[in-house]
Amino acid sequence: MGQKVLSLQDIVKEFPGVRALDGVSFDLEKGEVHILLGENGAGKSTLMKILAGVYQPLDGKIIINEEEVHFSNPSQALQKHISIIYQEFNLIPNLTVAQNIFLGREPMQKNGFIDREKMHEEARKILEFLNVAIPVQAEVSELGVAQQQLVEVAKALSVNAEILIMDEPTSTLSESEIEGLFRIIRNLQANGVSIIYISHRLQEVKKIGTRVTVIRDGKTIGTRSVQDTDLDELISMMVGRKITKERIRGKNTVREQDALKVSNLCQSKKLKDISMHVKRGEIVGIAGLVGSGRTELANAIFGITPIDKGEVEIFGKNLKSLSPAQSIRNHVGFMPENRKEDGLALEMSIVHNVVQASMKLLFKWGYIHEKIEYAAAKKLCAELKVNTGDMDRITQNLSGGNQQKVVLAKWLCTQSELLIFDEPTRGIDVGAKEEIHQLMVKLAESGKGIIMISSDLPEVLTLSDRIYIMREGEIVAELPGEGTTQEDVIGYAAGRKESDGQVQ
Amino acid sequence: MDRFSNTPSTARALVLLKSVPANIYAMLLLFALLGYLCGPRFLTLQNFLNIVEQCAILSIISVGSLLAILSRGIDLSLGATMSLSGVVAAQLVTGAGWPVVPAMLIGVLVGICIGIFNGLIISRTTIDPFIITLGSMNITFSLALIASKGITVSANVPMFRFLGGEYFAEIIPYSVLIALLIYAVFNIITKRTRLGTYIYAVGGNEVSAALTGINVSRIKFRVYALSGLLAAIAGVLLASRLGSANPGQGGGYEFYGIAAAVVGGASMNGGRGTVWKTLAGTFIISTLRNGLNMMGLPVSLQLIFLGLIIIGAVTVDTMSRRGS
Repeated sequence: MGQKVLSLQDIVKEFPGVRALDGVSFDLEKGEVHILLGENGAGKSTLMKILAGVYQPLDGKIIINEEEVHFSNPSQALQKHISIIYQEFNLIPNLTVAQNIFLGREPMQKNGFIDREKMHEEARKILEFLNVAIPVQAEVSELGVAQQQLVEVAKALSVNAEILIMDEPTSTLSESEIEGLFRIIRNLQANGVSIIYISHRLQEVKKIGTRVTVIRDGKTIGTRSVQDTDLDELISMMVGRKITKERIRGKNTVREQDALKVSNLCQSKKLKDISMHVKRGEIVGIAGLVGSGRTELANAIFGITPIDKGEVEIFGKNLKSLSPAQSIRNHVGFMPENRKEDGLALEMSIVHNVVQASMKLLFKWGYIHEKIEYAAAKKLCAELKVNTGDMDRITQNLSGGNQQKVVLAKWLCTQSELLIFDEPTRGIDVGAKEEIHQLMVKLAESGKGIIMISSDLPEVLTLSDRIYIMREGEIVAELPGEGTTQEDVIGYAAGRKESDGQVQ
Repeated sequence: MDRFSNTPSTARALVLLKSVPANIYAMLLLFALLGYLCGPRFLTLQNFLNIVEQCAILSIISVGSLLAILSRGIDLSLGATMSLSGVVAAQLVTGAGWPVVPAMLIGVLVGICIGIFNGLIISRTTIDPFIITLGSMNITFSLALIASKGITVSANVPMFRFLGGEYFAEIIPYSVLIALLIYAVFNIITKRTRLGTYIYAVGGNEVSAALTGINVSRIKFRVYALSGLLAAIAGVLLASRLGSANPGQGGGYEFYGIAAAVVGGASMNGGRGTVWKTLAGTFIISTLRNGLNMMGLPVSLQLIFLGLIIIGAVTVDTMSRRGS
């Protein structure tokens, strides 16, 4: 193996009340893709922010090319040719591609003005090197997510990055876009760039990694060569215990009555003639690539976006007009994919989030009784095992798993009988994920109908009674949950399989 | 062949028409409408020059408002700063017998100090600029009351009235030249310098800007110091034009400045808007006021129209942006 370009030794970092990193060590060799694995909250992002100069460690050494360094701000790390692509995009939407790439390092003319020609030229060169066609003068807000990601890569490379950190770069990309990104990563690797790749998608380890290091609870658990390890070992390193891959969904609790029946639903170009149903006591998975229309379908059923044609029947009642208020009255609950933006009032407390949609139900005359409010929230949070009894906690300060439970509590408070989960466990760590899955099973067993939209295939396969697969706004296949493989689902979703699948 | 060569030039003409900002069309429409309603007096060169002259002072304030809005802030203290700068300059000339030039410079300097005061607090705390500048607006107004002893300070000296009242080549007011100079300078600042780019960056996404290594608080500080400077220049010009200064005469300009920037397409969410479009916005507002005056509409009714125009302009702008 090549020479060591970076070594982090016994890094310690504390935040008020939390020891986020407790002696983490990590090293990087020239030209490798070193994957950093760990559950949410394991300390991956904190470690990388230390390397990028955003945070300063309490203890430990950072050694770059055999020289110890101390970064007190991001620009010092940039000077050492360390670039980071954060999980949340850090582009400025109202500036152009070129302005974003060179933000903070604009090429200047002698007279003190920005040298725009040179800036555009350099930006064009970098994008050409990445082999992508994005106009350098386009405003970033006009670009799609994948293109923005590529601009991030270009920006990171523009400092002649020798060490490139990518924090969950594929979390918002579709399969084909991920392939494109991987090609670029391999290309960079061939050019001697060393890459630290943070992910919790295990499948990516084999595809792109050279070595892999697992961190848990702020400590290094171990480093493996990708060739010499397998996913099961990595998973057990991540969680500290073996995870079973068997189906979570045990007994069949599907009942006769339809909870939801959708017939010939159309919405401009996004949804084409969708017909589907969900029975009481059934978990129905909806799989498909990003952009296949899954979220659009959920939004249409819940009444957020208007439909052009089609009928929606809920518990046998044909809804003439669809709107969220109408859906809630008919006991439908919707847990959106962007929990923080659309699911919660982040600055408000648990109790106020839980009762938010049930005001009419709980308080007949519009006067709010605190006792009733707290009692309802307490009961639901206990049922769902939200790990705090303090109903006044601001939801912003909760972990992803607990936030998701609060959203669920909100819909149970409205006495929802049909629950739509859009990406129920995205960004939630493995332990809490399992809990959410158990809750979904329990809800199904109690007779509720459940729709689960998910990009996490194992989740779809282990939980669903039935699976609809969407592609380009259409349902292209309906498969049983049992016996279906990842390959089957991807085959239909990506369009490799032509004929429609049917449930026997 | 002729038929084919025709097509690209039509297309080119269409592209050209589309590249003209919507507010320019709004302006033309406004002219036509007011011209029709007010009769021949409105569409004279003399009246056009009147509008341009009325425009000058407001246009300077508008740049200050624009800078704050671009950085996703707001500056409510601009009107009060105008009053204070004017009062100080006039009082130094009339009360203390100072020569005109240093008196005016001190007036401007006092205004900059208000801007620096805003900038220091806004860049060093996380308090909303709305609150800070609302506070400093009151403080500044109070200072202007003290400096003027609560009355109108006359400064009817020809030198003092020169900038605001005299004409270059007997046709172009000096105040208009100053405004144009300011626009040229700030056009370059916003488009060609790092400071300008960073103001847009901070307004677009403050966190990202900071993570890229931009010193966000320094940028914010400069924004408010500059808007203070612009308010001070406008205030001294206003006093010069009127030949007197009173503590209330800048009041309200802060809102017209914001309105001009917004009618010119600036977004209150920061990061969007340009200096030249703001000038167009200022012109639209001044034209409207002039036209409504000519129609003999009382001020009480004029404000209704002004309010409707502002709401209408922003609504159209927001809807067209959503459409694209």
